[in-house]
Amino acid sequence: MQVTIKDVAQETKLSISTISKYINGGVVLEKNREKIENAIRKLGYSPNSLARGLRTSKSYMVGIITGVMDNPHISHIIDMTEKLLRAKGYSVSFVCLDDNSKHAKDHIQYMINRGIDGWIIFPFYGDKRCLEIINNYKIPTILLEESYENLNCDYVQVNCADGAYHIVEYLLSLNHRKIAIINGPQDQLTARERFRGYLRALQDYNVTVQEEYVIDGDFTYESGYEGIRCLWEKTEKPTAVFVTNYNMAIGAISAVHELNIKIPEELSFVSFDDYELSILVNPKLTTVRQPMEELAKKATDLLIKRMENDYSNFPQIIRLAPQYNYRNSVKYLHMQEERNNKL
Amino acid sequence: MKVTIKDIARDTGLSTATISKYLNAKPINAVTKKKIEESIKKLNYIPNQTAQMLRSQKTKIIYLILSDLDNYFWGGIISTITDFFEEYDFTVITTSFHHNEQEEKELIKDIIYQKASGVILLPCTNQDVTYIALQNANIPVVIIDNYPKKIAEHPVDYVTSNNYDSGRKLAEYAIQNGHENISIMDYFCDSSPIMDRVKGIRDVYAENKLPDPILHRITDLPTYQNIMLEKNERFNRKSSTKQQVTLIIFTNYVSAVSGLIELQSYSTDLYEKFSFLVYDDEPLFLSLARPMTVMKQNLKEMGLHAAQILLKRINKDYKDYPEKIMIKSQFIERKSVCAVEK
Repeated sequence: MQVTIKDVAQETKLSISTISKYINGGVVLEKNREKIENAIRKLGYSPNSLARGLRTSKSYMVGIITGVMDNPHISHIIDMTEKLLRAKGYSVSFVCLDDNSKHAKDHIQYMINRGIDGWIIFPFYGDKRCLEIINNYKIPTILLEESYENLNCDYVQVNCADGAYHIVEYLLSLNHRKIAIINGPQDQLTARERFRGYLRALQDYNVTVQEEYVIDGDFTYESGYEGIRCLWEKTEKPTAVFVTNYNMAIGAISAVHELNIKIPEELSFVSFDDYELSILVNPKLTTVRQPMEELAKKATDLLIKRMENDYSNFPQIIRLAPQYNYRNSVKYLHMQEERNNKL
Repeated sequence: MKVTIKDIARDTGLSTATISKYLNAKPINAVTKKKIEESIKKLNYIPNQTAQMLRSQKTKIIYLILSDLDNYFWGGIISTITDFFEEYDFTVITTSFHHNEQEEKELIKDIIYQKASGVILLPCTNQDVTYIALQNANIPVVIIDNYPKKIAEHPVDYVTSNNYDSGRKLAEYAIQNGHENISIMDYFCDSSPIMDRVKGIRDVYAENKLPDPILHRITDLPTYQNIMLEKNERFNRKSSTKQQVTLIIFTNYVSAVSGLIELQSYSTDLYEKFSFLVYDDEPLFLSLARPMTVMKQNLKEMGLHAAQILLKRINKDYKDYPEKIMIKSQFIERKSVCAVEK
């Protein structure tokens, strides 16, 4: 037979209203909370989310809007986000917007009609106007890794400018001066920030930015691949390259193998994002690692706070510090080599 | 903050009872009705559908359950199934039990309690029999990929790749290139698709009177966290043969990634020593010193078929029950296999 709230009341000797308060996220005494949690675990009680939704006029559903899920970065964050939300009794439904999402707006409207309690939005390509309707309905929203104009929401981001600055500074400290960058699409915040970090580091070390070393990519495999091919055709090749995301790094390494470029002897290689590629290639790659666990945690905590009608410090911008993995893909350039390189 | 019936009451100066009457299509004064409608439009109020769902016993919710969301492999399946059901006014909730049996049981209990319209399940092992509980609760289920061992006793619709045939194809390709002594590195022993792939490979070697491939099995869960630890000896080696293996077949993406990382730590000229074949494709395989020759699964097609079958069952159409669909995988030749000189 289904375990009900009555059974939990009997087990804990507490009133049904206290338990109901607990289930609906209200404040209960610490010792009662413990009692209730133990009883729930013991009896295997799971609150009826439909009935709960009826009482609280909530659906306990969170919508996640993403672009194409084609890389480990997004799947790691989504995995953790879903886990954290479900622990709080929320389930997750997706709106995946790929290149031909003509129905983005309808899709979002449909989810709103189903009573979505909150949104988490990942960067995606295409028209951002489909997000306007979310604003119209005043639904709590967290935007990850991006900042769109006119969207009334909270933000959780990684400090990409800092990450880029730091990794380029590392190259500079090993005497590299001819440092190339393969950029992402400049209409995305993460791409702009990574480029900004690169420029700032070069400026701080009095290195003139050479336009021919700035490659326009679009965060895809192909543009990483083309980027390396293009750099390797230059008469004066760079001594180091900074590839600004994972998919491009895969493409870039693929071109490195094809052109038989020796890393790090001929080219030092650093990239943004640290996944399987970094340790699957020989030599292993020096990378900037984004704190995905923390990103997911901050985003869900803030969303839950908003869904519980706590709008203190709204809108909030949370910025997280990246980490670094120093492996074997960067060479120390002796001053002599550096001079030869200049001549 | 979400707009509630209280905001409408405040805006119109009417009681919540009156507005509730309107929402439940009970007769009210025409002037009042107009007032409410204007306010709803102005404030963008959405009536709570939960009440209607509870009344009608129809939730119009589909659960898509993955063993593991942390695998962007399934991304194509999620979007295909979500888009398909939206056309028919169903919401797809995607969730995962992270390879944890207890979590899965609780999840299933919750779904039954919620009276979901249907479930698409990607189990992590073929021992998984939780689908029976759903069937007993009259919730239609379609399984993708890892079909259950007990399928004869407890039939269920399922969609998977043509694993056995493509295992055969990989073995034939290896033999054509002169590889007589090979090894197979696999991941989960409780996976029907992987067992079928392995069987396909071994059958071809037996039919050609060649040595049975040596089987290595991964010993822990190759999650991202585990893989990035670069821990070695994930594969247990039972073999004691002295034959020189010239080719290694990985039975899926995770075994390939873990296996290559581990092999790399033993040998710097890995790609000179061995040829490789992988079941599953992924961009990463293009960036290896020798781009991998692979068997690529058509995941979107799998998702679409599963969704179509589930919709039929939800509409009480059981004509061809239980269905068993095998989606063809695609062989993509790259550069990871060198011909053996005799």
